Order: sequence, then C-alpha cells, then structure tokens
Amino acid sequence: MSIRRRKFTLPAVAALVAAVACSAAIGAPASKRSFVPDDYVEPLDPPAVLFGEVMYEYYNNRNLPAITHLLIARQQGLLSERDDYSEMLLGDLYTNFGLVDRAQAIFSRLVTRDILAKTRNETWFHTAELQYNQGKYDEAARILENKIENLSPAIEKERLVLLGNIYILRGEYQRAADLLSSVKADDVVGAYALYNAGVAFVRSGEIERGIPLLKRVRDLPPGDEETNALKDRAALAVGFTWLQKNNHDLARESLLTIRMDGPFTNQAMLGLGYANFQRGDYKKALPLWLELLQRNTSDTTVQEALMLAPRAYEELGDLPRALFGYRYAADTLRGELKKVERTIVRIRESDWIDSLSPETAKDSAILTDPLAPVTGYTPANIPEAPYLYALFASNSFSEDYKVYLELKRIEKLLDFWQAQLPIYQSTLAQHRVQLATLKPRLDDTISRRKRDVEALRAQVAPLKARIENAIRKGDLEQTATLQQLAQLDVARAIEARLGNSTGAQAERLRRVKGLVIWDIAASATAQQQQAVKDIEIVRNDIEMAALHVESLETLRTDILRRMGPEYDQRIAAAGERLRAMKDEITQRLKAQTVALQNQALVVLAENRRNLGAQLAETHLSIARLQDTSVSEAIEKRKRQ
Amino acid sequence: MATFVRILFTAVLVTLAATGAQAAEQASRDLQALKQNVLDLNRELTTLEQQLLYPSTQVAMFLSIDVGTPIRLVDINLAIDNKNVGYHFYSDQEFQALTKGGIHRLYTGNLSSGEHTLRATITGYDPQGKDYQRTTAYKFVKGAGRKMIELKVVDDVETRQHKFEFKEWSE
Repeated sequence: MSIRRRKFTLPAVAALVAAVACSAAIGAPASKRSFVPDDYVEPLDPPAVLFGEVMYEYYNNRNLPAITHLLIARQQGLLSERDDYSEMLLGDLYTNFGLVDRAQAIFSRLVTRDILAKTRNETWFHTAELQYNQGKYDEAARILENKIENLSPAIEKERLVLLGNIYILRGEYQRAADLLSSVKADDVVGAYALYNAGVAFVRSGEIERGIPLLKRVRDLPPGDEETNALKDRAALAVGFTWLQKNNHDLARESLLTIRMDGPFTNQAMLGLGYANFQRGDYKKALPLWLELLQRNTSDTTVQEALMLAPRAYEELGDLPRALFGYRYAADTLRGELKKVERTIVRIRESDWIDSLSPETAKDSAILTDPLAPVTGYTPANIPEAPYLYALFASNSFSEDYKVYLELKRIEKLLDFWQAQLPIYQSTLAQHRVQLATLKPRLDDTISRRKRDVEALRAQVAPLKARIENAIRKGDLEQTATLQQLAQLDVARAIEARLGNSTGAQAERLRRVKGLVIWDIAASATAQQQQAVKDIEIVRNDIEMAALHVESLETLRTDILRRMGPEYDQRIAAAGERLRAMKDEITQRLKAQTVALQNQALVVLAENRRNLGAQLAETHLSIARLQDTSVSEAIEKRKRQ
Repeated sequence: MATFVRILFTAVLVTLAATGAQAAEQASRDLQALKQNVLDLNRELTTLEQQLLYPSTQVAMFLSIDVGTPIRLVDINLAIDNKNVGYHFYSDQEFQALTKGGIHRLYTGNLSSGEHTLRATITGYDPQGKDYQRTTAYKFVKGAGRKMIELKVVDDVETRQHKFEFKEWSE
C-alpha cells in the first residue's frame, strides 16, 4: 500500500501568529497601554507576514512559489533555521519534491529541539516516512516502534499501517497481522490496514485468522470508488484463497459479492466459473466463461476463458463445439500475439510516454510547478492499456512516471525562465537609456534640494528655540502679531517723544499703551499655540522634502546598480546554468522514458511468452481431440 | 488448469502488500542535486526579477483574516490614490488558506515617497449568508525605502461583519 502524502498539520501557524502578535504587544511603547494616540499604527512584523505568505501558497497547493518565497526569506535573513515552523514546512516541501536528504537533515535538527511534544511526534513520523521511502525499513521501524507516542488518531492509524507494511516487507506476516488487526476500518486507511493484515495472515498460513479480516473489508458499506474497489479486492482475495483450498462453495459465496461493473469483474467471473467447474457443475461454468469471451480479448482473464470454455464443452461431451472452441482460441490468441507485437513497436516510439496521460491542467501554473501534486494517474484510453493495466496500477511504475512528470515540469519551468532572460536584458537596456539622460538632472536636483533642506533646517531651528524660550520666559512680544507689535512700537515712539511730561496727552498715551499690552497678553496663549503649530507644520514640510531627497538618493543608488555590471553578470550566469540544466534534463528525460518503456516491454514480453504457451496448449488440445475422434471413428468401423 | 488460479491468487495477494517502498529509490542522489539546483535557480531568478521590476522603493500590501472566522470573504478591490491597483476573488481553497493563517500578497508596486491613500472594498457573507460590502480608507506615508502594509480583516463581534485593522513596516 502506498503512503499518501499529507499536508503537515502545522498546528501552530495560528499559535505562531498569536505569538508574533503577543511579542508585538509586549514590545509596544508603555504609553500605548494607557492610551492609544489617534495616529498610532501597529507595527508589522515582516518575518511573520512573509511566513504567512508562504503558508497561503502552501495551503493552495502552489508549492513552488511557497518554497521559493521561503528560501528567499531565509536568504534575506528574515527567516532562519531557528524558526521551527518554517523549518518544518521546508522539510515537508523538500519531502514532496523528493529531496529526502535535505528533508532528513531538517527533521534530524528539529527532533533535538525543545518543541511541542505533538510537533516532535509528527516530526518523528515524517522522519520514519522518509526512511521508509528510502527503503531503510529497519530504521523506520525503530522510530515507529519506540520514538512516537500520543499521536492524533488519524496519524496513529497511519503509523500502524506504515509499521505493518514494514513487517510485511520483511516477511514478518504474523507480526504485521497482529499489529494491523486492531485498526478500525472506519476510513480508507483503516480498510487498507485490515486488508493488509488479512493478506499477512493468509500468507503466513493462518487462513482462519486472515479470512475474517478480509471479510470485514469485503462487507464494509459501499463508499467511494477507492473503498468499493478495495471491497472487491478483498472479496477476490477471500474467493481465491478458498479456491486454493478447494473449498469451492465458500469461494463462490465470496466471488458473488464482487460488483459486475468494477475493476475485478473479469477475475470474479473467471473464478466463479472455475469454482463451478471444480464442483462438477460444468453447465454453470460455461455461461460465465462464454460471457468473458465477449469481452476484450487482450485481457488475460479473457484469454484464460478462451482455453477453459472448450474444456467445459469437452467435459459435457460436446466434442465438436470443444474443437471449434479450441480453434477459435488459437485464432484469437494468434491475433493477440500480433497485437502485442504492434504494441511493442508502439511502446518503443519516443512519444509513447506522453500519450499516456497528457497534462491538460486548467491552471497553467501547475505545468511549470514540479512540486505541484500529481493527482490520480489514470492512463488514457489507449489501445495498449489492457496489456499494461496491472503495470499502470503498480507503485513502481507510478513512482517512475511521477519522476518523469516532475522532469517534464522542470523542463517547462526552465523554458519559462529561458524565455524571460532576454526580456530582462532588454528591460535593463531600456532602463539604462532612460537613466543615462535622467541621471545628470537627478544629480543636480538632489544636490540643490539637499542644500535647500539644510538651509531651511538651519532657519527653523533657531526660530523654534526663540519661540520656546519666549514662552518659557513669558516674553509675550515674541508671539504677538505684526499689527500688535506695530501698535506697541507707535506707542513707545510717542512715549519717547513726550519724555517725562505728565499732562493729559501722557495719560492718554499710557491708556493706549496699556490697551495694546492688554491685547497682546489676552491673545498670547492662542498666539503661542499657533506659533508652535506653525513651526511644527514648517518642520514637517521640511522633513517631507528631506524624505523626497532621500527617495531620490535611493533611486540614484538603484540606477548606479543598474548601470554597473552586476545584473549583466547575474543574467549571464543564470543563462549558463539554464543551458547546463536543460542539457541534463534532456538526458534524464530520455533515461526516464527508456526506464518506463522497459517496464512496459518486460510486461509485454511476459505476455508474449504466456500467449505462446497458451497457443501451444490449444494446439495440443486440438490434436488430442482430433486423435480422440479418429480413434472413435476406427473403433466405430471395427464394431461395424 | 490450476496454474491460472495460482497466478491470479498471487497477484491478488501481493499487489497491496508490497508497494510504496521504492518511491525515492528512483530519485538518485544526482536527481536530488538537480532538483536542488532547480530550486536555487528559481530563487535566484525570482529575486532578480523582483529587483528589476520593484527596486528598493517597492510597496507591498498583504491581506490576512482572523483565524477561524465564521464570516466568508468573497472579494477585495484595492485602490491607491483613487487608482485601482488590484482585485481578487477568493476561491474556497484560497479562503480556507486565509482562515488557516495564510497571508495573501495583494499588491506589489512602486510608489513615490510622500502621503498616499489606500482604499479597500471587500464583499463578504455573514454567518447567516447575507451579503454585505465594506469600504475602508487608510492614509500612509511612503518613505525612501521599502514599505509593507498588512490589511487585516477581523470579525466585528457586535455587527457580525468584517472590520479592518492595519499594520505597517517601513525600511
């Protein structure tokens, strides 16, 4: 049973977000806790946001962007090996992409850390999965047996299934069966576990313990296609186990439960016919086999039926029909041999692999994402499918095919980047032309504006100090309006002209001056506040101008960088790497194609051998029947 | 005649028991090295592209939502200084990604320094399935370096609809 890839639960993306939020709150100024100013903006934590962005891509199955953002954030120092969750995610993405060594290194680092027990257990589980996928069964079993506890029920079930599979692979059927028989079949994983346990018992010779488990799977309520197929498979396993033990009634009982429109119908019909035949009920065996003869003759069960149907006629004493049946079988098998030969030729053609299941993903991004999940491989409706059905369903073929698809997607990704490089070069060239004309103006503007800003700063600073000093000393005149100051100056001038006189004029002057001073004092508070505000506005305007200058300087730095050789060198280096990788991909694709073709050719060679043997057997049967009829004719003549 | 039973019997019992193990055996060390090179190259070219398109003055805007919110976000329309810069319709999967803590990059672009106004309009469904629309405006100052703004859509417990919170980071 294959191990399904499942998304890391990352239990604490939420916890991480919460933790980041907490740290932000703790780090906020003390005043924030007592009151929140109107213009207060909560600070954003770039690492948390970038990790959130990675998670968004990951949960949308956009694994290439996810891992790319993650690697960029790490390169920029925003995330590091010390961040447990980003480490875990990277490990999971590496695993998905088959980078098992890198994933292994990450998981080994993680398990030594002081992390949540649940997370640690999941990490151990991932490590065991990796060991299993690399064929290191003993190491995987050691982890699964000793290192993991308190897993969630779903993962605990997967642990049992994985461990059970290891025992089966090591030939420890009894141990596997004991372990797996306790698993509840309340989902597909559990049903597979029970099936495997049943098979393990049967293979260890304990049929009486294996059959009940297989029956539990067989008798599960109907479910999705995968469950129903497993139910049929279990029924078939029970049926064929009893056929082997010559218990034909029990075999029939189980085979009859298999659906008539499922993937195991042909085997069920063949087996049922065989059970009837062995019970001596040839008349009941015959219709099943004759029905099979109406089906695709490329199916091996149909080919078996071709041989068995005439045999049933023989047993029923209908020798002419038996002879006809064998001749029909011989013709059909010869025809099949021809088809196999044609299929072999077709498989050797270079485009055969691509014709199997052409990728027609609606989302074109998937076609250039080698990390995107390869969902349910279903071979297209091709003429060679009947010969290769079992191969297509096998794990080794689908794993090889998955690697092939990954390579194809990598090739497309490299094509994409290769097409981008000239665009980058022309963008760069275009920028350079524009920047060459812009730069002198930019230099001039920056130096002029910088001087302006400095001059304004130099003016505003003493002005601000003077106003603050006047407010502190109660010097009201410093914040008086120009009109008030003019009135005061007039009053003082008249006062100087009058000297020490004490007449009515002097008294009027004293009153007028008093009025002016009273007016200044009365409006002083508002004037002072306005002066402080004005100074602040001027200062803000100056700082905004300084910000523009600073931006221009940043732009100039960017421009200088673009004018220099750095980008050219990077583009050229990327071009070199792309070319080398494209060559490697081309070679690997060829090798992978050949490997897949060879797998198919091995199956077809076996098929050809079987057809040859069946053909020989058919001819022998024909000869035997002809001998019998000749002998009978001679006997008949003698008797006459 | 018993041969076919034996062959089929073996096939039935072997298929499920002996699979799954050889998966990564196919992926040789060389293949792993190639894949690692692909990831490195992809990272390098993505960085190069970002640096070419969005130099050190870039602004990035992100959207996040309350983890586990009962409210369904449908779409968002984003404008800066009254100019539309982005629209996104959230599929079920994308919305689920947001509710699990994912953060969506809504916009990356170059803005001049100084004050700008961001206007975001979201459409959503409340827990009763009733649709509504909310708009928020937010003023921010773009400095000389890069800037990141996170628009967080949070549940308003009283109205059982969305409200907005902003966070900022400036280089």
